[in-house]
Amino acid sequence: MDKERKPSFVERFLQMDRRIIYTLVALAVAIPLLFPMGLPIKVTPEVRSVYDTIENLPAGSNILMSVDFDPASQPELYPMMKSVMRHVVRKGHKLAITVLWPNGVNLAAQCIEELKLEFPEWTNTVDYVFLGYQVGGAIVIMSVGNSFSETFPKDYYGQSTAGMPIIKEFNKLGEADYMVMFEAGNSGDWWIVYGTEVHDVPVAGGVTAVVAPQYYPYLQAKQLNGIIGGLKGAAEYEKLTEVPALATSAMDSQSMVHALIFVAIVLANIFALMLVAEKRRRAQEGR
Amino acid sequence: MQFLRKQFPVMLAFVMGMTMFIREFVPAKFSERLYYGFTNWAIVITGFAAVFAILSLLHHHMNKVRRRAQGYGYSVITILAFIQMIILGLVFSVEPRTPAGWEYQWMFVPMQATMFATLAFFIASAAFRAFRARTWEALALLIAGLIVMIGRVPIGEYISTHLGTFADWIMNNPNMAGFRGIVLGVALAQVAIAVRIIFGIERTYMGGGD
Repeated sequence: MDKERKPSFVERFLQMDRRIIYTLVALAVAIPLLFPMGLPIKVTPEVRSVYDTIENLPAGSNILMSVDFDPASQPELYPMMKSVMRHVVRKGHKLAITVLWPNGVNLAAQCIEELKLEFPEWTNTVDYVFLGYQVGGAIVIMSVGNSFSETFPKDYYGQSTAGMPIIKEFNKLGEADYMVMFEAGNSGDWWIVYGTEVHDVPVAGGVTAVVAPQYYPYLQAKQLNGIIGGLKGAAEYEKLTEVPALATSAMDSQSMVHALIFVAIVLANIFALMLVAEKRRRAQEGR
Repeated sequence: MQFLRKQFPVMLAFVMGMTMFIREFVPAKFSERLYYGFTNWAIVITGFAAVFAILSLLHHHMNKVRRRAQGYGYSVITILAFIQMIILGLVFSVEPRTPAGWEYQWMFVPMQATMFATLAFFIASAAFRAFRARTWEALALLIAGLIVMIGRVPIGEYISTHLGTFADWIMNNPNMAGFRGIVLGVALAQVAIAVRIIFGIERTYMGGGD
């Protein structure tokens, strides 16, 4: 008897074909990209703290960046890396860049290339050094406490680091005035435990939205001076630097997808409750 | 032979572990030199480990091809991609605007980004089907998740500024407290494991079997 009954609207809704959801997600991403809404971006204190620190350091300060992600996290972390790096270059700070993830090397190289087009006077070995990748993870962090040039005898471009003008003034982690690490995993924990805490270097984390929650205890304990979390954090940084770019343009899409998932979850829960009530009613009627 | 395989690694772990531990309490120049000397060794050893990992990967896929195991075609592609990338990297370097750089930028990056991007579709579908408030705990999780999800994107701020403030409060308080517990637990476990390795109680790192 029950098998012959047509499924109700509630049942059909809860068993919605996944391809309909995929289509809705695709539309929620694509439409705001084609027709931007310009939703307001509010800057959070965690992001402002990173901006203010770089902004208020005297020109020529030493900044260390660690690129610890790969292309899987590129959409979130690349825009923020570029935005922070642009800010550092604009302020005339010295920059050393390390990479702990082998697949992140070319992303950092690409970012440097793009910024060199914007700032042709930005000179390798004088204003910045791209130390590249070194195998070892946490051990590399311990080792840069002693010397960049011993840990990275050659830079990414194959030049000896020992004689570089920038290395003469900035040759170890302890000589950094500030550090920003871009993290898609746990290497940020290593930087804090084995690096910045040991050598008393203020540090901020540019992290994916997925790993951002695990960095909040460090922020509250002041072991992190700021967090740029996910694409939203990147958009906030772009707003602060007044150079809207990739992250800002993606904010409307991200908002729409979040709103879509929000509505889907709420409706699914309401309909699930209705289904339970419907089943109870049917059971009572059948009794 | 038995000594080299069983006792010697335990002795070595004990001596090195205790040396590094005691060194932490010796604020002298030689102690610092020792520390950085050991970290340099460790980098070299990790380099060798990376080579072994590569050889192991090749060995695994070559075996699959030799046995014509199911899906061995993927192994052939892995081996060919691996070899050609090594050759291109060695001959032309891996910088942008070299063949290896192009492959990285125009093949590897889009492929990996695509793999990750498809997760958005699966997550949306899975959230719709599975994220149900079946218990009070699940309801609390659901409400917190929904507020953070909508409060930390611009549309949340557009709907109400309180949403963003509440999402920040969730991140800075309940979330932070939970993660602090996890971090402390992990740290204590790491100390326990370190002590067990130094005193030879934990020996799984030497591998199993004879």
